[in-house]
Amino acid sequence: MYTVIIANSMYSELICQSVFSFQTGASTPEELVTTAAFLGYPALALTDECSVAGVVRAHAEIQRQRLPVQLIIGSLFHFSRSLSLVLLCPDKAAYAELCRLITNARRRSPKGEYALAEWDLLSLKHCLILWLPSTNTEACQHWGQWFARHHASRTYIAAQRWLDGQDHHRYNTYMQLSEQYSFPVVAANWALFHHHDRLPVQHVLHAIKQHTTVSQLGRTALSNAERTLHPVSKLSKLYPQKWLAQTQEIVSQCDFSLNELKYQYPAELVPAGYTATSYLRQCVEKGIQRRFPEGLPTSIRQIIEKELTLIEEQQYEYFFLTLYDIVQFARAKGILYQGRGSAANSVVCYCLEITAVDPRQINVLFERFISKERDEPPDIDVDFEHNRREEVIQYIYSKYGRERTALAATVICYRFKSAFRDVGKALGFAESQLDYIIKQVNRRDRALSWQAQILEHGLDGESRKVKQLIALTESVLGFPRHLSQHVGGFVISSGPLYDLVPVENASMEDRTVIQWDKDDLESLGLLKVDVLALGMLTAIQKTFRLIREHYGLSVDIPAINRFGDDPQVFDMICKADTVGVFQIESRAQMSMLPRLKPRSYYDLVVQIAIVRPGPIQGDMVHPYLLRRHGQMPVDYPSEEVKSVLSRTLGVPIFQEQVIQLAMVAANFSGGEADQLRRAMASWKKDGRIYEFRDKLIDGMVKNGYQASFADALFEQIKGFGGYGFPESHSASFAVLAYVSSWLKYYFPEAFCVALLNSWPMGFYTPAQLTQDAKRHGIHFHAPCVNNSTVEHRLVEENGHFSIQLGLRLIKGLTQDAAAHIVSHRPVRGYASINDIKRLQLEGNQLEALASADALRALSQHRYDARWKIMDNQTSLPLFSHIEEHDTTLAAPSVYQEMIEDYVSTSLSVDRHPVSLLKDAGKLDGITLSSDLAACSNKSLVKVIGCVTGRQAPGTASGVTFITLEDHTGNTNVVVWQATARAQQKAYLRASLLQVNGIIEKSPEGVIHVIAGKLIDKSHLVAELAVPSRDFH
Amino acid sequence: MLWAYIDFTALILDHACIEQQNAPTAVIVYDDTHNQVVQVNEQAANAGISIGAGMAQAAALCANITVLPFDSVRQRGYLQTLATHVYQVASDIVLYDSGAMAVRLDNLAQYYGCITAAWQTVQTLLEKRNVQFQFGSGWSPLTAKLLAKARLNKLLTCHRQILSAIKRCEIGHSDLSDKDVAMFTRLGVHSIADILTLPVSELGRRFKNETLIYLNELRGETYPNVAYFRPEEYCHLHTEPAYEISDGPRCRPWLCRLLEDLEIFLRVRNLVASSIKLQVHYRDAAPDMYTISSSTPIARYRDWLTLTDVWLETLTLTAPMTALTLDCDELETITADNQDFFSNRHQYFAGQQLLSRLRTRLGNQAVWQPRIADDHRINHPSCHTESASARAEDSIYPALCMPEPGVHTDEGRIIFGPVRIQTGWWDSAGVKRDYFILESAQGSYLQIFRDSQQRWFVHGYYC
Repeated sequence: MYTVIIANSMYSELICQSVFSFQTGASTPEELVTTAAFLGYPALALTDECSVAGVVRAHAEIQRQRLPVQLIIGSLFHFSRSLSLVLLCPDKAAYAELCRLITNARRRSPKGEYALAEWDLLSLKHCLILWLPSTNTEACQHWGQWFARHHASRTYIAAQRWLDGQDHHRYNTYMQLSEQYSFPVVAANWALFHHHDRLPVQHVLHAIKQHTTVSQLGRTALSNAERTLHPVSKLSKLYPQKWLAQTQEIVSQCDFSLNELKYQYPAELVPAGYTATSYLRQCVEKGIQRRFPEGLPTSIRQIIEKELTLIEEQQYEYFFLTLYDIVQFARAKGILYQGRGSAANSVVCYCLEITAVDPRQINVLFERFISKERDEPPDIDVDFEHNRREEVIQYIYSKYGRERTALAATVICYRFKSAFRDVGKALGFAESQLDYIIKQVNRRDRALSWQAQILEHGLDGESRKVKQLIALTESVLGFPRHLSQHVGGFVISSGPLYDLVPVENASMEDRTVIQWDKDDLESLGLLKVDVLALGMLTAIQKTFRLIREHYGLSVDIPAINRFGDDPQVFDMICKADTVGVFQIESRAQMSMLPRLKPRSYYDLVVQIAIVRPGPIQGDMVHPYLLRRHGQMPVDYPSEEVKSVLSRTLGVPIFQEQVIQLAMVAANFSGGEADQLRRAMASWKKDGRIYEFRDKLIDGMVKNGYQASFADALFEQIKGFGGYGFPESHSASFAVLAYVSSWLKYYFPEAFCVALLNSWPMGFYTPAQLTQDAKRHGIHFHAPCVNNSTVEHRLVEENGHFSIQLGLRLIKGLTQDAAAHIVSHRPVRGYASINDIKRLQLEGNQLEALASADALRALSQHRYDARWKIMDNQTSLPLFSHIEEHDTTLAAPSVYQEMIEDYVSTSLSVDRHPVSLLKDAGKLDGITLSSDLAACSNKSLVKVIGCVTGRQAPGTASGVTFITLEDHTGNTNVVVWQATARAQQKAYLRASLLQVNGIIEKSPEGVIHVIAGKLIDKSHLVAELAVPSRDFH
Repeated sequence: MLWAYIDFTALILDHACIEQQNAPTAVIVYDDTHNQVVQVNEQAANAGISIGAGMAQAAALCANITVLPFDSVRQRGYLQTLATHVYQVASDIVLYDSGAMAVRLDNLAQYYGCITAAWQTVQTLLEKRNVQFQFGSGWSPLTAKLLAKARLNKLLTCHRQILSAIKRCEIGHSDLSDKDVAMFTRLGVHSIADILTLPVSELGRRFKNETLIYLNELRGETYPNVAYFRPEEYCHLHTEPAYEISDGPRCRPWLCRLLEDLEIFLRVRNLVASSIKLQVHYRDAAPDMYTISSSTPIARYRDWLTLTDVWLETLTLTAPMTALTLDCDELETITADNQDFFSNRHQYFAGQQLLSRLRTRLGNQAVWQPRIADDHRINHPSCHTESASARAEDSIYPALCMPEPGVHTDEGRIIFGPVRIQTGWWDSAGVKRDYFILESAQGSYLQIFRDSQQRWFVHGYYC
């Protein structure tokens, strides 16, 4: 509740810059409107510089808190040194005009800048103009005449009194101009912050903007804290009553609200003679014929009808039709895609072919995803093959035009590192000192805050400057820094977008972004379509193509789904043999697979969701596993809870379940649940989640739930923050996880080729993928100028498939050069190095070929090939006939071959460092990865391998997981924090690491080595190469 | 010809850690432009920090390290100081920006008896300076450099021995460009011997002229041109301790080092000086400047030390000291009778010089130079700032500003104001005041202000 201070005078602040005037405003829009309400302002105009990026937040805050303050939308512009003005929007037409003006000013300038033209100002027809006269008398006369000539009825002189020694001069100017041109004078304090204690923050932001320190700002800094929201009583002393009253006259003209904005979908989506509903229904019916050729079960029909009714009630038809249109394009072009998101796992989406989740496989409950009560907008992300997404984007641009299409923005905010560095620099700390401290701070250390940590690294906590650094960093955390583009969230409208929201240039060429982010769009109920890129879809599509070409079989995702849950595939998954498989390939997932033992599609849905910060932080993993294996009874504290948690054995795993629990167990209303969901997503930024803590826990305890259960649930809610993982996402991901597992099991060669051809993607490097494939008996051929194509390919040998690595693997060889080599290859292949040199490729490209040993068919060895390639003389046409002579360069040793393989292709087909060491007799007493299974639990072992991964997840309390690779497999090593600290040198620097430790085997067969001694053995590899060259 | 190449591996570090026993456990010099550690002390090396490591790795390996920023200008300054020392015993010196110098030895043999004795003289002189270095010798600075980079650390004088040693060097130690080194490595060529066995004509068909020229120089077939070191005419010395010093007398070891260097500077030029400027740099504040003067021109380090010890006794550091700079530009030739200050020469002293001497005699606080600072605070004068940025509102500055505001009690009429000054929170002189111009009953114009406790003070008077 807000106590409104009643004052004799009425005042509304008409010029106000928030943090969205980057590095100028020092208060958030929310703080400004809240303070305006507290001070009893009837209205507040948010007027960020050439921007409306903050208005939705202000609007949402007013609605959320039901503040008795009217938001006026406007924007500040600096046209030139002699003219600054603010435009206010009295009505919707003025708002559209402002958006168009900002769009024009932004579009004609590089990202982050704007440029107004006089014509822009001349064309104003609806906006109110607050003129901010300069100190230049001549310029004031010029612009006074200009405004009088063009916008006499809508121009006001905005007056400031800042107690800076210039007030008298300004007052005279206002009076003279007002008298001369008959413009009313209106008080406008031009606030930059909501409370005077933000002055230091503003100074710091200003210093950051000016790339200097606060002490060097001099007179460019604000001289006092007058640029704040003042109580009306104080304003009455500063400004004449008439000027204050004039603010209300302006407010009375302004009745525009963002609620008036109505999103108009592109009309062309619906053919003539149809309504959106009837057309959607027709599309669904068509889809039913394709999806259910054997006939639609009655139960599914009922679900479809229910969903269509809900979609009609919520008026989401156009949204589904837009997506339908996009995926139809992708289908026509053979681009693989997959929908996911809150509304994706519906039968309607399945029929519209937006998603491949078969409703017969999962108990689809559409209302779980679109909730009328929670009033969430539908969320459907569509992933496309990552290397073909651009085609989809270009289709959207070409179909709807650039005027009607733009990407949503992403607001890049100050995080600890950026805030600490920028504030520190502004306070005069040395950059090297700041960098050092930033690198020392472990943000995942839950026991010690960053404030405490920095004091451990040389900063004096008693020093005034350090205290200021801490306090100001805290203040700046979460402040926006600039706008960036959303990864793929498109907003498409029926008319020009710039009537709805300003559009500006993104840093990426040919991309435009609107000034609102996804939360803003959600607040206003505007819908965006997420067009995202996913590497695994590329890999799957390429695998399908290879299967078709080499095995003559036609498979696709729905077909694999229709085969049902394949026990053999799940056997492979349960063994954690999932390198390259979507989602369940990470080390954490692989450790969980033998414990959870998924045997069905829905088990995979749970598997994917359970290895996440939410369930882990909420201690939900073990209870679930115990219940799943019958070691703990499955019970529910109430029927309501049962309805929410029955599908996950009484343990909340998914984000939606947590929200639903808050509703059924703690009596959250639909609106509160929606606020909780939003707070979950942003709690690390603003910590607003804690507002819900007491209500959740008290509510649950009041309803008879145990306090410990309520506490754990709240911890889980926090765990979801930033990593929110709803069931709907997991359901879609599980489809791809299963499909990729199926492909790996039945077509391992084709799947491996597709993965390598789709790289970069996924969790593993090509070297790791090939090592895994080799362990599965797949044979590889190194790149060869006479046998390879650009891409990797399957080669049939004696009825078996092996993999011929492609030229794309060679570092330094461009795709064009590789294609040139392949397209110009004679039928019998290249016969000599000179043949290759005649291709007129650049020297470094040819040298790359030589070093990758791709010319081995044409030379003695790779050094010889490179030496010949480097010869300038034979490159000249006159000498090209000269025969090449073999060099006297020594042939590379086995070790040098391996090094060259890694340097030139990042992998070695024939050799592994550990196998070379073993052959050299340097691995006495070492247990190889493949032999670990034969070791007894708790026995001492020595393992060695190349360090392929060091992970210290935030949920692991300081434990580091190191993966060691040898030629027989991967060894998982667990390093406790104390062990790592005591042996930092080996822990951090070893590329070849020996670990002496204790083997730990779980009953399910998961093997870990608990590290005791870490020994850096990197030198062993070097010893293989060259003898010591000491001087004695 | 025979040259010695001396590669100073930790020049900044050596100057920072004069007192090893007081040095923090691990100290590194960090080049933030290239994000790599460029110098490490023994403790840091033991912790696993190696040259070339990034800051993140260094910090991870050793939680408690002192980081000194790399500054090429400063390193060059230290190198020049060292060269000034070596210049006492050797004439042909070449400096390298990488923090190294080459000294020609063969022409010194006649003065020292033999080349070895000449080298030992240079080596002893450098060892006294407590600087770490590695060295090599050869028929050109280039060959000597190669052996120094390979950490040969032996004086070889025989051509055959030198050639043999060169051949054993890895190509990574050579001055070949990174690109050339990579190219040779990719051919399986790893040592200088491997390169030298390749026919020059074959190399010429594959490598650029610069590479061939370098290899020719290495073989001793051609000699590069070098620019010899010439001592500076003006003495500017700077040192940075490895840790911050908060107690004035504790900076004496670094001051001694500077004065030693000053003496050498003066002595080799046959000069004396009657004043030096010492600049004390702080972590959180602008540096303080002190001028130490001698009534008679002097050069000897001990004479200067007598004067500076007096200064040190009274030196109170206002903030932790990070560096010390010594400048000496008023140099005089030693004459039989250096004349008295006031006898016939005072006309030579410009106002600035006189001011400096007054400050030395009377203390900084006693001498003020009124200028308007680029700061909103009216009571924030600075003699180091220009008044160029002063604007129209500077009219509120009174002609006479009181050093300490006095309590205001007189009645009068406010004719201007308020001007609210609420700033300076970042330093110890933050203010929150409302300034006014008051016309007193006597008709004088006063600058007065009201503080946050509503008390009134007189701050200045207008003419």
